[in-house]
Amino acid sequence: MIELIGINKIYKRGTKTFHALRDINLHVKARKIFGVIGASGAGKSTLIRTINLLEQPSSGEVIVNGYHMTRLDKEELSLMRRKIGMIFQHFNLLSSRTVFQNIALPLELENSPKEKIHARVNELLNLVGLCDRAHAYPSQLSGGQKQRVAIARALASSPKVLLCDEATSSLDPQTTRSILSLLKEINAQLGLTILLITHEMDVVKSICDEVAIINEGHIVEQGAVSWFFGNAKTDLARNFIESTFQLKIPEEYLTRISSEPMEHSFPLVKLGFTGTTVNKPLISEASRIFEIDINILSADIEYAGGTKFGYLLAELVGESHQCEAARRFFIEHHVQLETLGYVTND
Amino acid sequence: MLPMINILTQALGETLLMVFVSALFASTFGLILGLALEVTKPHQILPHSQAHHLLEMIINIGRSIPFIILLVAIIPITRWIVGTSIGTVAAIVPLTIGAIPFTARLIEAALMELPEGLLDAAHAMGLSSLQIITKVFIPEALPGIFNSIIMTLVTLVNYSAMAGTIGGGGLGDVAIRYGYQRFDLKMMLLTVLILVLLVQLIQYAGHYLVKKCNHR
Repeated sequence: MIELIGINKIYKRGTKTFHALRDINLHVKARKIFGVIGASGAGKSTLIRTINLLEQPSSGEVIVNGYHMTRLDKEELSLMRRKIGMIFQHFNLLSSRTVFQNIALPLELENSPKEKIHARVNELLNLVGLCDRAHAYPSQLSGGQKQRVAIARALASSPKVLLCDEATSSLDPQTTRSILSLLKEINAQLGLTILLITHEMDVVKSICDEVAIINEGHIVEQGAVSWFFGNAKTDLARNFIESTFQLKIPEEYLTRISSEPMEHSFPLVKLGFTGTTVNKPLISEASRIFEIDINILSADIEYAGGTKFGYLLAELVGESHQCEAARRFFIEHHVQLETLGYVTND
Repeated sequence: MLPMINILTQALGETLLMVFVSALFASTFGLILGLALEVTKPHQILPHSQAHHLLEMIINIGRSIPFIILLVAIIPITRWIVGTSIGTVAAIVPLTIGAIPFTARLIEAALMELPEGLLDAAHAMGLSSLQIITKVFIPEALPGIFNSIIMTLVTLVNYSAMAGTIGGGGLGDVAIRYGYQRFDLKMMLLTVLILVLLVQLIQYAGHYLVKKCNHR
């Protein structure tokens, strides 16, 4: 649905040049949600803006729904842009128009008759759950409501593609979740292809099918979210992934931990479940087979893109050779295993 | 007493005519010029640096000429437009021309205040340049545009006092001739009072209008 081929973007200011995008190749399949994640200044905003040509790429091809965007003339580009919805971090609603009138704007451009506009806007208000605020002005709405209006406006002319430029970055966590679930709903209901950029891995984790990491204008790594969480190779990717998991050894344990096994000490292990981990109830199996107790101290396991991934901290309590066998069992089933130390029980 | 009232009512009528008619023209041309000034900037919808610099220069020249000089200097143009160079109607021409650059600057400032993201959104929705001006820039900047018009009106009340130089009449002229030159304190105070009330009224009505259309 969206294809970027060899995109470069170079800004020139006087004698200085800045290479914002370097040889970007990206393919967003129809009906998928694709996330591009990167730190600020990584080029992700420039990247999403080249798709509807808010930024003209210095070289490379942008193909949306089979059309070469860079080869369109001004009028064709305007028409094409109406088939690409876009929402922004700061919503960019017209303050002089009511919610209803904001959503109606793209329809006015198509010279739709009044009754048709009315019906369509009401349908969209219903979709985003703002029927009761139709005649409010944007200044009377909360951030989440404003973004819902922006979404409705972006969908008004029935686009095939929706671009989300940091759409949840200025919203609180709860509102972020509700906006993300709305996006997911739209994706499923309308079969819309969504490309979003964000600096939060949680956003990717909760709704994306595929993800690409961008750094200094390069796409560093990309793949399916489920694969990505388990197999990302670069440190940058790992950092982003780890940022979504909060796992700490409890304070009380830190005082009782040593690096070597001692008498009456049990191994404290960190188990990592990734895309390649065998999908079985491994904890209870290990406990049964090796007759050990597995005491979970902390866990953060998520289910996304059809696999579970995440980490847990656990104490393996049992005979030392059985604990050793259990550890081997986990490794055989492709659990990332790290022994953090040995805890004495007193 | 009666002749005094007659003088004042006639002068008020002349002032209102000069101020409002020239404000109408100045606002219209000022809006066009202000829009042109803004949209020809780089990264705007119709970037054109030569046109932009030319407009800049014209506006700066227009704003730097003292009004009293302008009044006299453009007499040939006035005569060409309205057929005469003296009288109230003739004064409308220099008042308009004097106010246009001022209004244009104010309207440019009102447009510059619009958040940058609006242009992105407008482009992303596929609006043409003309649609961006009519559906985004003007309605969104309307409170600022109204403010610019109010300031233009008040400035014109001020300028119109000098219209007496070319026989334009008006309250300011009365204040100068009766109050300043003939030491008629009563007349002076009365004209000034009426002018103060006029400006108050313009400001009050203007504020109401701005408040009405401001949803930011």
